[in-house]
Order: sequence, then structure tokens, then C-alpha cells
Amino acid sequence: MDNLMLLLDGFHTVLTLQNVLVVAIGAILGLVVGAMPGIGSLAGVALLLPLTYKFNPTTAIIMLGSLYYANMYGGSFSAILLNIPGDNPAVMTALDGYPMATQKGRPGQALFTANLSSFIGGTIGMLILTFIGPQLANVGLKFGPAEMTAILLIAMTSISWLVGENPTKGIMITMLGILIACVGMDTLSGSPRYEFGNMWLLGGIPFTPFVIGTVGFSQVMKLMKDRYKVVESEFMNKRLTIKGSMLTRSDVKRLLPPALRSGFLGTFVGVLPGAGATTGAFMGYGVQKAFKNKEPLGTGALEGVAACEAANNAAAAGAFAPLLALGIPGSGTGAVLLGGLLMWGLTPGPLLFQNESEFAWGLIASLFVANIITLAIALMVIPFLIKILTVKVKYMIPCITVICIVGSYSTSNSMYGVLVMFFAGILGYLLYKNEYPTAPMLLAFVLSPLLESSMRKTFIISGGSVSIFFEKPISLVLLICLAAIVATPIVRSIIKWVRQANHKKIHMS
Amino acid sequence: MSKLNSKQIVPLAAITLAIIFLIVGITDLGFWDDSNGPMPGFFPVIMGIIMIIASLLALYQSKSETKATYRAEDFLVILGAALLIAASFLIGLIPSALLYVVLWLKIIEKETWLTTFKVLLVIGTIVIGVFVLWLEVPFPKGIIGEVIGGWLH
Repeated sequence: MDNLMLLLDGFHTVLTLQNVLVVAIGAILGLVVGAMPGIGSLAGVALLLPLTYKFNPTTAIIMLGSLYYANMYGGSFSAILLNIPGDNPAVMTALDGYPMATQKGRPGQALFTANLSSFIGGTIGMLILTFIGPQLANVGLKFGPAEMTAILLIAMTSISWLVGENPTKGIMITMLGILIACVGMDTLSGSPRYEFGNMWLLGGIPFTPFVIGTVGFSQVMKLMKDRYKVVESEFMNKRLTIKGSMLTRSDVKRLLPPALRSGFLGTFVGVLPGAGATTGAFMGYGVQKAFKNKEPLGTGALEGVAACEAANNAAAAGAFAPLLALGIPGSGTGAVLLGGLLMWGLTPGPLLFQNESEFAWGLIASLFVANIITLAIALMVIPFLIKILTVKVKYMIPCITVICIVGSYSTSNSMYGVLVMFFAGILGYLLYKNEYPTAPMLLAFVLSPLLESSMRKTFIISGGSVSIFFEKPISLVLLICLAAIVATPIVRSIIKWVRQANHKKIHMS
Repeated sequence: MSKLNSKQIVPLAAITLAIIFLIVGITDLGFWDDSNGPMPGFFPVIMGIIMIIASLLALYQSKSETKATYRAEDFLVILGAALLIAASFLIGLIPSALLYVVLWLKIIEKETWLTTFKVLLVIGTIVIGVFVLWLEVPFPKGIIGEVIGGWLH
């Protein structure tokens, strides 16, 4: 009950005219950027980060939360109307969303299903977050530097080792993020480090320009190959209306069970490090296959759209639990959000719910408000969606470049920020071309200072002995989890190798 | 010996960077102090060692990977942005940004003046409305902008 009272206090903080307007602006921008072709939630949140600089910290954080959350809605639109997923979780939405729109002739209902299921999944995720967030923080309060080091290693390893095709590249890129974050001042003593006599480097690599470059500017270079691609849609000349998109009573009956089920499932997937909205959507869809559906999945079943959309939004909300309570983001977008929170002087972690209660509950309450406002806006933009989705990429290229440059200047008030963005963009492009994931680098860049201070404090306490990690029960359990995470891809490749060898043997005989 | 491609250059660059961090960390910053424990070089040195190992593995794996292909026009974005940044020192950041949009659409995309104007109107409204008027960012005016500003005063 205490949590509900605190949540009500959070609503008290959020429900001012300015904050509600900010949530609405964040929701509109997040939705439009999330829906636009080729941008995606990671670049979208990064590009919109400078907009938060105008506000006081509470309002800025509320806007960040709504930007992040509304982005999750946007990805499904192009999946349903164009069969082009706007982001990774929307891959599953396209499986049933597009056939529902084209073969079944119900594009409006497919969009409505996606929006309503996202709302239901998100609400379940936020309700669970309200209760488990502070509990997780209580567990976190028992963490000393050794436990914190172990959990940070799990967070970094799970995203670099498990996500992506090649774990080696994931580890390499994680280390790159850490080394870039080491430039500037030493976290404990404050002495200069790796600044190579340069005044600008002494202040370190600024977070926002670095992120805008790595994911925003590099995205422009990637978009060059698509600039003459003609987006075809059979809805180009049809006008979608809100009235014509309404669901029938029977549709709502079909939608509710998968949306509720996936809401719970997605939230718990979102809480796990490294398993974000994409895993949530895949699992939600996978589980739905085991249940009875009115139409077979993959042929335009409403249940298929509902299951994955509810799961991915629930996972996005669930991911806030480890982010706020332990300071551990589960994805690249979460890392950008964490960076934004740190920039505003808010340090997510076990003490957040105690020391910065107004912030923490204000942010959680703002997610509820953002969920409602985003749903309303998502329904209202249905008639204009085709226009938004078919904006020509060749016009977006100079526009995004200008936003990257102007935005990175505005966050640092110096050309140094612009140069950081420029070189980070080239780095991001080279990494993409050579199949290195950038999300682990961003996560490592954000978490590196905390990992370093925890690790050094641990070794100061132990006098340099690593046995401290094995003596404490929590850190021992965490290290076992870490070992399991590290072992998973190795065991997987051994099994694959043994299977291939057996297969060859059978063929030989 | 086969020619190096970027699949090898990236891990080699990572190894070079890690070695620099390692040397500076051990020689300048210090790794361990008997009375104070870990020094400022402690953490980057450990991470540098892990990076070298991972990069060596990535270098080995790169032999079996297909070569990355680059499109010359992708680099137009870098060139355009570099020129925009350079021009900002002369005519200021906002005029450079708007000029860049016009030149890009006219020269690279060969768009009509009407389309160029429409796109310029949208991006100009966002940049001036949001960043100049709302966020009140003091953008650099450039040498010419400063001179004109001086005359007006």
C-alpha cells in the first residue's frame, strides 16, 4: 500500500500543466520519430535528448520517459502498413499485422489492436514496476562494492556476450566503450587521465554528442543506400479514419487474453538484463502459438498482433525496474535513457527510492500518464500515418545531419561537442560496416564509471585479493550467474560442433 | 600476403588503442600502490588487456569473414558535414546548416527549388524555432557574423 501512496505522490508531481504538456510533446515526438522509416528507437531517443535541456530536472526526466516509451509504440506502424518493422520488436508484429491489414482488409483494426495491446501491456508492466522496483532496490541496498561490481559485470556481459551474432566482437566493443569513458578525470581521485595534454579531453567525452554521433549521424550514412527506395503501400490512396479503425466487441474479446498474458510475460522478460523488448515480443508470440486462436497465427490473426505488441511494451516498462533500482539498463536505448538521467544529476541505484523519492515516483507516474496520452495520440494519428511513414529518405538525410550537428552543439555549447559527434558518427558507421554492435559500447560507456569505482573500492577493502568476490554469498551467486552467461554461447557452439560432427559421421557411414 | 581490409583494420586499431592505454596506464598513471591500493591506471589497464585478447580473437575470426563493402556516396555525408562544420567558423552554424540543406538538395539530389524550399522551411522552423528561439542556444556566429554584429552595434 505504501508504494501506491508514493505513486499517488508521483502523480501529484507529474500532474501540473507544464508536465502534462511535456509528456504530450514527448509522446508526439517519440511516436513520430519511432514511426519514421530508418530511424528506430535508439537513434530517436538520442536525437531528441537535447530537447530536455530546457526544463528543470524533474520535467526533463519526465519528458525523457515519455519519449522513450512513445518510441516503443511507433515501431509497429510501419510493420502493419508497409511490412517494414520500424524497430526489432516490431518484426513479430509484421507477421500478423501486415496480413491483417492487406489480406483481411482491416488496417485500421490492426493499428488499433497494436495500440490497445501496447497500452494494456505497458500498464501491466508499470503496475508490476510499482511493486517490484522498490523491492529490487531493497535487495540492492544489501550490495557492497563487490556485489555491485559483480552485477555490473553481469549487465555488461549479458548484452555484449549474449546479444548479437559474435560474442568476441561484443566483448571488444564493450571494452572500447569502457576505454573511451576513461578519458578525462579519474573517477576516484579526480586526477587527469588520458587527456594527452588536450584541454577539451580533460572534461572527458561528452555523453550526448557521443550518442547522437554513434547512433544518429551513423544512421544517416546507413540511410544513403535507401535514399531512392520507393515505399509502396496499397493504403497510399486510401484514407484511414479513426471511426473506421474501431474494434468490435468480438475483437476486444479476442484481444484481451493474449494482451494480458503477454503483459505479464513481457514484464518479467524486461526485468532480466540483456533481454529487452525484442525478446519479449518473440516470447509473447511464441507463447501465443500454444493457445487457441480464432485464426491461425501468421495469417493476419488479431491475437498475434496483440501478443507481441503487449509483450514488447510490457518489457519496455519492466526494464525500468533494474534501471531505476540497480542503475542497470537492459538495452542500448535504456543506456541512453540512463545517460540522460545521470546528466540531470539523478543517479539510478538502490538509494534512488530513498534519497530521490520524488524523482523516482514522478518518473514512474509519468510513464502511466505517457501511456494514456500516447494511446490517445497514437489513435489520433491513424489518418496521417501513411504520410509520416512515406516521408522520402532523401529528404531526411540532410535534415537529420543538421539536427545531429545543431543538437550536439546545443548540449555542449561548443564546437567540441560537434566534433565528438562527427567522429563518433564515423566510428559508428565503421563498426556497423564491420558487423560490430554499438549498443554494448553505449552501455559500457555509461556504466564504466560506476564499474570502475565499485571495482577499485572492492580491491581497496580486500587489499588486492579477489577472494572477496567468493566470500560474500550475494556476490558468489552473482558470479555463478556470470559464469553461466559466459558459458552459454560456448556450450551452444560445442553442442553445434558435436551435432555437425555426428551428422558428418552418419553421412560417411 | 593478402591485403588488409577493414575487417582486420578495426581489430588492429583496437589493439593499438588498447596498447596506448596500457602503456600510459602503467607508466604515467600507475597500476597499484601498496598503501593506497588501485591507482588511476588500474581499471583501464585491466580492460585494455581484455580488449587486446578480444581483438586478437576478432582478428583471427576476420580471416573467415566476407570483406566489408563501402559505397562512395555514403562518404558524401561525412564530406557534407565536414564542410558544414568548417563553414560555421566563417558564416556561423545556423546559416551554414541551412545553406547545407539547400546545397545538398540542389546538388546531390537535383531537387526543384520548390521542393528544396519546402524541406528548408520544415528544417528551418525546427532549428530556429526549437534551438534558437526556445532553447536559446548561443550558436557561433562565425567571423563574418561577428563582423556584421560589430557594425550593427
